[in-house]
This record gives sequence, C-alpha cells and structure tokens, in this order.
Amino acid sequence: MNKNEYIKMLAQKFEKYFDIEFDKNILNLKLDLFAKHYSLNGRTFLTKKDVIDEFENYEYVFLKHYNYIDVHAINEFIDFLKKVSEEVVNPTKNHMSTYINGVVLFDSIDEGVKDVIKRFKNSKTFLFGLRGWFDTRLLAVDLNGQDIICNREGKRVKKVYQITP
Amino acid sequence: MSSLWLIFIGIIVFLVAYVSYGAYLAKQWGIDPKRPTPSHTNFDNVDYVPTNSKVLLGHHFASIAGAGPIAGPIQASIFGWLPVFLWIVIGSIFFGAVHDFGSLLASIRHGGKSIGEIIEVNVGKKGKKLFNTFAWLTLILVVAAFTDIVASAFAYNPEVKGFQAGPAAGTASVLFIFLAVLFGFMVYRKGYNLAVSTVVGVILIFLAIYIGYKFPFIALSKKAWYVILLIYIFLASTLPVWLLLQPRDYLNSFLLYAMLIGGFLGILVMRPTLQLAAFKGFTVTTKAGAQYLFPILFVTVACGAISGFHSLVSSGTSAKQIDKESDAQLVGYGAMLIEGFLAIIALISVAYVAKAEGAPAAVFASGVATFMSKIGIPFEVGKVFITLAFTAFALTSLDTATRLGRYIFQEYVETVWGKESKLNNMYVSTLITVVISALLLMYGYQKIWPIFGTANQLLSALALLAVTAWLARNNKKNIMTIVPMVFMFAVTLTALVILSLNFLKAKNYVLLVIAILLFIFAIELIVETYKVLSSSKASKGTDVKA
Repeated sequence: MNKNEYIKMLAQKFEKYFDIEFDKNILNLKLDLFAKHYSLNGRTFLTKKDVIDEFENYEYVFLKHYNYIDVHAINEFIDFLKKVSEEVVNPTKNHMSTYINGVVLFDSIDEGVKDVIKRFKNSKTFLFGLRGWFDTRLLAVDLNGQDIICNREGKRVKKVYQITP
Repeated sequence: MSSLWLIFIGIIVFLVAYVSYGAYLAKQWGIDPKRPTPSHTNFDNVDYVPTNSKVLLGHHFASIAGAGPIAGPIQASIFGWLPVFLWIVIGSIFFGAVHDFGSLLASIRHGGKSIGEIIEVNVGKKGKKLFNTFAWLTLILVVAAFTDIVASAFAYNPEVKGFQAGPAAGTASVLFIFLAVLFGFMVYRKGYNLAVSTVVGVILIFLAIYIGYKFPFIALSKKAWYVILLIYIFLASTLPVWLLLQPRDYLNSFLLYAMLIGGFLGILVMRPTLQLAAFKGFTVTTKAGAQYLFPILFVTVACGAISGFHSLVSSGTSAKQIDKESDAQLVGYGAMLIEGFLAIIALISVAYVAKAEGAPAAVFASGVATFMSKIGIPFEVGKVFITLAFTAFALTSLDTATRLGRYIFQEYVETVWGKESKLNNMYVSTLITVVISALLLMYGYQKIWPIFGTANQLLSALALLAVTAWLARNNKKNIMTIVPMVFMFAVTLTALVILSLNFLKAKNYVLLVIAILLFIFAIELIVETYKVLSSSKASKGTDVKA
C-alpha cells in the first residue's frame, strides 16, 4: 500500500469521530495528516444548558510519512510529540483524558528505531487524577507489510492503524 | 394468603397492560416504527447511536430504579398490603409508565431534547426560576431522608448480641466504594478489557460482601455514620464523575439484577405467606400523628408507581439511542413496569415480616434474605447483600441530589449576587446544601419521607402537564395524561396541607416552613405553566420534521 492509499484509508475510518486536516504544519513539522477528536459527556437538569456534571476527552493524531526512518528522525518526531503535548493538553477541572497518537509511516526502517519506539513513554497524571491524564501512543506502520511497531500505550490502538485491504 | 398471588397477579397484569394499554398509548400517540428517530437523523456514532432495545431497556431501568420503590412500599404498609399493592399496580400502569413513556416520546420527537427543554420552551424564565427553587427544597429533603435511611441501615447497636447485618453491610459498602474506584482506574486509565473487568469486579463485590459478613470491622453508631455519609456525599458530589460515580453506578446495576433475580426466585421457592393485614383502615394512628390513606399512600410510594425526578435528570442517552419509535414502548413503558415489580417484591418482604419496625433497609433485607435462604443463600449473607444493594442505590440518589442541589444553588447565587460571588463556588455551594440537609436529619426519615414524596410527585405532575400540552399541540389524544395529572395534583396539594397541619401540631417548624413554601411554589408553578401552555401558539404540531 502506498502512503496516499493508507492516509485515505485512515481518513475514512476517522471521518465520523475526528476533524481531519491534511498537509498541516504544526510546530515547524509538516504532517501528512492531523486529526482531532473531542467529546463532552455529562448529565443535565431540565435543559442542555443546565449541566450538573460533565467531563471531556480528547484524542489527537499526528501522522507523518518517511521513506526511510532512522534513529535521528524518530528522536526528532518524539521531541515534536513532547512539545505538542505541552501545547494541546489542558488539564482543566472537566478534563478526563487526552490521547496523543504519533504515527510514522515508513517504507524502510533502521532496526535501532524499533527499540526506541518500544521504550518510548510520555504520560502524565494531573493532580492525582482529579484533572485527568494524558498518554502518548507511538506507532510506526510499515507500508510494505503488516508490521506495526508501537510503544506500550500504542498496543491498545494497534488494530486501528493496521493496513486493511 | 400466599405472596405468590401478588407476584403472579403483578406479572400478569403488567404484561396485559404492556400489551394492551401500552399498545393503545402507542397507537393514540401515533408511534410510527418507520419514522426515523434522532439516532438515525443525527447519527454520529458517539451520542446518537441506534441501540438494541433490550440493551437500552437494561440501561434505562438501572438508571430509574433505586431505593425509592423499596423504601416507599415498606413505609406505606401501615395501611395494610392491599392498598399499597393496588397503588403500585394501578399507579405503574396508568401513571408512572404513562409519564415515562410520554416523556421519552416527547423527547424523541424533539430530536432527543429533554422534557425539561420542552417545559422551558413553554413555561418561560419565571417558571424555570420557580421550578428551580421548588426542586432545591425537594433535594435537601432527599439528601436528609436518604442519609438517615442509610445511616440507620449501617448502624451498630451495642445492645444487640451476635451477628448484625448493619455493620457487616457498612463494611462491605466501604469496600465496594474502593472497589468502584479501582474498577474505574483499571478500565479508564489502564485500558483493561471491560468484559473481563466486569467479571472480576462482580466477583470482588461478592468477596466484599463475604469480608463484611466475616469481619464487620466498621461498627459505628448512627450519628457516626451521619458524619461519614455527609463527608462521603460531599466528596462524591465534587470529585470527577469517572473517578467514583460512573464505575460505581455501573457495578450497581449488577447488584440490582442479582437482587431482583434472587428475590424473585426466593419467593417462588418459599411461597411466603403474607402476615400483614390486608387493610388497616383509611386512617391509621402512628408516632407521627394520624395518617390518612388519601393522600399519604400516594406520596409515600413515590417511586414504583410514579416518580418525577428521573425524567428531569438527563444523561441524554435513551432518547438519542432509540432505534425506532416502537422501541419507546419497551424502554419507556416497560422499564417503569419492571420498577413496579421491584416495588411488589419490597411489599412482599414487609408483608411477610409483618411489621415495618426498623429502617426500610433492615425490613427489606430480612424479608428477601429469608426468601433467598430457600435457594441456598445463607440468611445472614443474604441480609448483608440486600442491605448493600439497597444502600448502594440510596447513595447514588444522594450524590445526584447533592450535585443537583449545588448546581441550582450556584445558579441562584449567580442571578442574585453575580458570578464573582464567593458563594458561587462548587465547594461552598455543595457544603451549604449538605449542611442544610444535615440540619433536617434531626427529624428522621419517617417525617421527611412523606414531604419528599409529595414534592417528588408534584414534579411528575408538572412533567405530565408538559406532555399533555405537547400532545394537545400535536392534535393527539391526551386524556390518558390529563387524568393522572389531575389526580397527582389533587393528591400532592392535599398532602401538603395535611402535612403542614401535622407539622404545626408537632411543632416541627422547619418542616412546616418547607411544606408551606412548597405549596406556594407549586400553586404558582401550576398557574404559570397552565397560563403559558393554554395560550394559543401555533396550532400546528411542534414535532421535529423527519
């Protein structure tokens, strides 16, 4: 599968839940796909404006394609994810969770990258959980095969990013 | 007389009512299975999602069933079991289920809007302010009544030797709270599989019951439990919902189903004989003074016949997930009949025990645990389990009521003193609501329950008024909502007058003031709502076009 086909496949999966943008520049990094999901749940009394409790969940997808990804490139991407998490995560009183999905598509990979990805962790809990948490999922998708390398958090969403014909 | 008669008459009558009267309502209100519902027209696979009607029934029933259909029939048994049974059956069929079905249908036809929005659109700002004040007074009564009931259920009595279910259930309940928090953490934070976590969670609930039974180490007086419960509801009302409330409510639904199934099977096997008199008279003398069957029966059995609050607190789910309009009959009408069935089980438990001495939880637990002992569950373990289940529902009502009370109080403060006022703070507002409720605790649940029931039933009457108006505007028959509405208004207003006189005689001045205020607000609300609803707006329907 080539990069455009994969991005189209992913966009179709996400279009109901996410706002999607293509070829977006964020923090000086050009992304092939950026997607954002926001949900607000709660209970109301009488009308929708009378909210007695509510909570928010966010999910972001930052996707970039590399013909060849080496350790230097993955570390750059990781730094980007760390910076972007400081920008987008906002632990207000209604914040429950923010998930940041960093996805790299590759045609070929340096073997050293796999360990870097698997070991990567960037999570935080705010005010002992009272202001929620955020987790970063890092996944690398081999466009030539079925392989997806991911960190521990990424395992939860591996199926979403699998190449489906 | 064998209680099996009550069970089978109840089941048969409810089934017949569902198939006949429920279908009649559906036909009169123009239910169209082909008409797209909001779950299809607004489909977003997040909130608006067509859901299997049986699954939705389960969710909806778990959200409306609680301690009310248990505590009410037990207290109303002072009149004998027959009038309570008749009111449960007739009330559920012609009042409660009509109210719930009508509210749900109105919501579906308004694109998933709550009955409250329909009320607000029609009643206006003044009506809404009155309504909020009325609701806040009701809520502090709810908090006081349920706190007293739960504290009575858990209290340790040093004069009683041997096993006491109260401390055992109190211990199990505390463990259950921690379990709920852990469950939420594992599922939300750690992403554990929900099905597996549910199985483990249910096993751990029963382990908590076993630990409470074997090692009831939390043995405290009623007053000590007051303090713990008030602190608990303060925390439960201010902490994020996913931390405690959501996982706890999810696990509660398993307690509910286990209790219903266990109680029903136990009754089937044991066939307990009703020891209570069928009818004790239209006037019964109690410690709280003379109690008149009309109107007190109809406000004491506040849930399990008809109940106002649950149509007004909306998570917005049911109406948004109905697949086709014909499912509304099962979800709206059917769920309320099942709640009536729960009330019948509560009635059988007190009719078997033959006296409602002691807290409702203790009476209910004794009765049902006796029935369950016939299917192999040891009596004392059964008692702990039933007490835990009952108090778990009461705690859910408690923290919802506190949150609501806080919200209404904050809104009022903002209107009068502005957003910057120090009182317009979540913690301060919650504290004020909890403290005022705590002051009412001195009266005890027996005195508070009838006035809470009255206010609760008045809310249902107002919701019926809104449904009646909506039906009228859409040129649909509404006699089936007018009759229960008029009856509920008559019952509740009469009850408020009688209760006020009783409070005056007994010098319960705080409750007297609350009763008078409720009466005044209720009359104002009725007049205001009637004025607006009867004024001619478009005679065209207000349904959202498909």
